[in-house]
Amino acid sequence: MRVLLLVLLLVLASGCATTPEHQPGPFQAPVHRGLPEDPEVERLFLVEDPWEGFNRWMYHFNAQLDRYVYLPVVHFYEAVLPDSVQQGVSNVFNNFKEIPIFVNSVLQGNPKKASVSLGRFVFNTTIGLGGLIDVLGKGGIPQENEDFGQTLGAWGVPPGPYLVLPVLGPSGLRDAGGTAFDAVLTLNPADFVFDGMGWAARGTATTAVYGLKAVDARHQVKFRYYETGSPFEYQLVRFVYTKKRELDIDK
Amino acid sequence: MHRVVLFCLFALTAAFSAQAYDYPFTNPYEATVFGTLPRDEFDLSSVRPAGFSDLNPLRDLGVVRSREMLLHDRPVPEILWYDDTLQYTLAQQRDKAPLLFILAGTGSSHESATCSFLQRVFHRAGFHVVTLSSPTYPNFVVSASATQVPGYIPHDVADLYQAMDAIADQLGRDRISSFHLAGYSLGGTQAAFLAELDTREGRFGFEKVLLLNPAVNLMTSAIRLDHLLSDNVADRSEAARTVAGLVRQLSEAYRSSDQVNFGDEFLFALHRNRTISEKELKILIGVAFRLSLASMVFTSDTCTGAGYIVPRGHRIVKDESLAPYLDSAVGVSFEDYVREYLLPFLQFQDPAITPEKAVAACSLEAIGPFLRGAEGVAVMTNADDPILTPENFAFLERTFGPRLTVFPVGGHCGNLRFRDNVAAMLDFFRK
Repeated sequence: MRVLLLVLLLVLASGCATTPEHQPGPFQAPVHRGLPEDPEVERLFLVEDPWEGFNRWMYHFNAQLDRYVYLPVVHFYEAVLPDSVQQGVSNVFNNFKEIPIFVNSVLQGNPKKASVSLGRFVFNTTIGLGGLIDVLGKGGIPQENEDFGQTLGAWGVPPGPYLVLPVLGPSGLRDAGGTAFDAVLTLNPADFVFDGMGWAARGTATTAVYGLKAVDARHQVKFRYYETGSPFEYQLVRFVYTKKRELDIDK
Repeated sequence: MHRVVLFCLFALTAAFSAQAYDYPFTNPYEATVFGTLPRDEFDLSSVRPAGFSDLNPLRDLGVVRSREMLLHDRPVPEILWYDDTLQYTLAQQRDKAPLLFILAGTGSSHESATCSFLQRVFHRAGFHVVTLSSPTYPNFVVSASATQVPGYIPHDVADLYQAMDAIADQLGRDRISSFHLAGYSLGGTQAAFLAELDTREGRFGFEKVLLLNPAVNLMTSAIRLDHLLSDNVADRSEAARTVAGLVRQLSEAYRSSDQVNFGDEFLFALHRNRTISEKELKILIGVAFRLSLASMVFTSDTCTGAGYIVPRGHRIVKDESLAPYLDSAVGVSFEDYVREYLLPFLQFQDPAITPEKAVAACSLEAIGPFLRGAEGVAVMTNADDPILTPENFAFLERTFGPRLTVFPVGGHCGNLRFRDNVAAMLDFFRK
């Protein structure tokens, strides 16, 4: 946790570094298109976003964190380890996610998804050597997509305003709560594997596992900030995220 | 249709012999939107079968890399901070090899599907391959454009030339045995101009240059794209409603399917169940063009501070909503952009320039005599490419003669990943 705080401070400091300010050039357009009083194009694609100022600030912050800290670490990780090892690491952490997926499937009264999730956890943990190999995924039974945010949605809880979380990125008020709930349910190997160790060794090992988990989490997410190339990416991501959540809840 | 369709059966070795051209979409708008389905794509292993060494997970380390390069040391607007360096992709060979540059089309990036696919093909065929974003792509406007006002081909081509020169230096010229160039859509047009520029500057000496679905005259082609929208919708709210309707249909299909994710063929699967009308396809192409234009216009205006979209003197801060600017920018057609922004800018720089001169300078006709004699420059396009007029085709036939290949179907760039097309490209560069 202290490491994370330090990183955040570093990023904030680098954001404040003085660079010469951009100045407008001498050319002035003969026409000013003007800004409409009441934007109409977005209306059909509009998402409730009362905290837009904060969200845009946080989006900007996350992108800088990604560029200067998070991605360089992930790229190093991807460069030194063979793909098969990276896949194994992802499989282990994904296997622990089966627990919240199972719980949420049960809470939503979906026995099919619950049994898939339970079966995956049992077989992958045993035959798959503690989750290292995704046996069932290879056999054509991929991980279900369920979380507590979706459960709340299925129960009729409205999504609430759009919210960009630090580090984690696009979310909503309801889904942010869901993420916290799922995190509590997700086992971390650090919580039980290192019990026999001394205090100092356990601390180091636990930090290492959390670090690996964070790196793997970013490694698994294909999204890269500003990859769309459009200066209007924030709006696009906001729309796609909200739409996708809406559909996943119905699924 | 008094157009002679020159469909040569080239590169047809024993394996392909006398097969008809069977690209699946005969409607040019379907072809443009759906492109090439994975099952019809060129098979990479036909270049060189995957050998034992390809199984080694460490072999490709460091081979295909996204790179960035600082070309202009100048302040960047705060909200575009991430575009300070030019981004490009390099796939390199271990040993000395020929280098192929691939230029993306209007508003497209160096990582567009077409760029990435062709990069994989030619890398496997033994080339170093560099893909570059279009000068109309925001990252290029901010990082690599000298004027930061895109759309005037002589300027854009000079920027590309400088960037390519720096990239070749960085790769190491002693590792490059020869230089080649390909571009699609507007990138194809720019490739022709680069070939001409290089005969004067001489920093590369391109052996082979291939123009894929090029625009002959930038203004003519852009106006044709503008019209796909303006001829089919009464106003912008109708365009927005059409797109919203398609999003709704996609959502329905997603909801009722077992697929966990939107795959490559998702839109096509939807199309098979309930045909998307030609009018909707035209609107879709027009809207996509308009949106990429909006990104370009807003980016350029933010960089120059010219006060076209953003009020002059206003500095956008990072927590400010861009919604009103998007709304304003999507109202700009290419014609508007040229008349209200690009031409005034060119005249501000050089009062002698007239609109006629500027438009003529952005047409392949301006370098017609060079192209007629340039043996290493060839064109591949489609008989039903919607960005070309009959006069454009006549010009291409007159200028390139046997170096012009016209496929019977494929729309605008729809068949660039199709097996026969890629085989023809490989044949051209290997000969």
